[in-house]
Amino acid sequence: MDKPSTNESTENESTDKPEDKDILLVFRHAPYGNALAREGLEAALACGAMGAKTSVLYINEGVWQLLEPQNSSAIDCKNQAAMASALPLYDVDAIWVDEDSLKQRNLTGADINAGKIINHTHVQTLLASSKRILSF
Amino acid sequence: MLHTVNKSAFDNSALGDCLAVVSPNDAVLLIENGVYGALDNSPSELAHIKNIKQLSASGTRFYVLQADCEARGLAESALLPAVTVVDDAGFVALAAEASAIQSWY
Amino acid sequence: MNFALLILGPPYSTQASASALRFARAALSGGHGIYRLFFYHDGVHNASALVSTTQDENNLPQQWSELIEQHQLDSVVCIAAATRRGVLNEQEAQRLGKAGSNLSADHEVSGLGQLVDASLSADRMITFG
Repeated sequence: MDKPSTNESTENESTDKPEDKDILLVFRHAPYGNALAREGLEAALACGAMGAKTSVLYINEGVWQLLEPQNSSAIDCKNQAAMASALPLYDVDAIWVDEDSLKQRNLTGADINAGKIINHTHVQTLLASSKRILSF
Repeated sequence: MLHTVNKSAFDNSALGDCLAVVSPNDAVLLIENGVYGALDNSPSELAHIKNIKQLSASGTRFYVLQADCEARGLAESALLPAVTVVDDAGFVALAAEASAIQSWY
Repeated sequence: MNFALLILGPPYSTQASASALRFARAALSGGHGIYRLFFYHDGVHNASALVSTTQDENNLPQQWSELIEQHQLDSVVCIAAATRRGVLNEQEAQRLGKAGSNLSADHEVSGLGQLVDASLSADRMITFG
């Protein structure tokens, strides 16, 4: 999937199959300072494991989760970036990163290790076309 | 869609972050400490107030939760004209009519 | 409408749980349904059976229990999030060799699969964080 589309999610809604229903998880918080990044990611992996069409949007402070490398053992924590790399293994390939959030933090595509960078308009489209959002 | 914001615009970026991505079709509901963002602060025009006015002009609807305003001593007359006060039933109605809900906190 | 609520805030420390409770009550009064309550992250503390308050203060975990009982709601507490925060039912406490249990029987303890199911099955999913 190259970019989010407005109509994609409404076409298959008449079925009850998880793979026909999209879930978008929005990740807005930096890793380690609280458990939202970790627990949000675990929820995303669970969505993928259950076969739901899962998308993840890293935005605002959430983009820090993708900065690599992270040496989380320094604070005796599970490595958030390493956990995020498991997303494709659980069939979560729609990983979006908000361009404006990167720019505000002086980050570029070279600094982050996953996801497709999308602009403001695409972020709006992604949100508008989602029927189920889990906010982390 | 419906956006809920529960942090004050004066100490947290949640409202600003939300306003940066809302669309003309969307509704924004300020709850809990988020209601402070609905205060009319004229003449000193803060960024979030400018944004609310601009977005409202292009169709975005703004709401505050009545119980949270009341608890914090915010009179309806002190709120931006663009913002409509709703009660808990109104919150539910907004959530029911929205395509989805994103919470900014 | 059938709503699913994702509750991430603990009782008292933030307002999230109280807001969620008011939303749930209003939804039910308005004739809507609640497909599931899913307590995750710090929200698991709302399932504590040990919370006690003074006479003049509301008891949020108790209010959740009452709502669940009154309307026969499906309430789930995420087992992983609860366990690492020390919120355990009797079964888990015994399994882990812990001195006591504190999870109210009004809540079922289960995995994130129940959150995914709630997201897929309810008409609307709303997060209180």
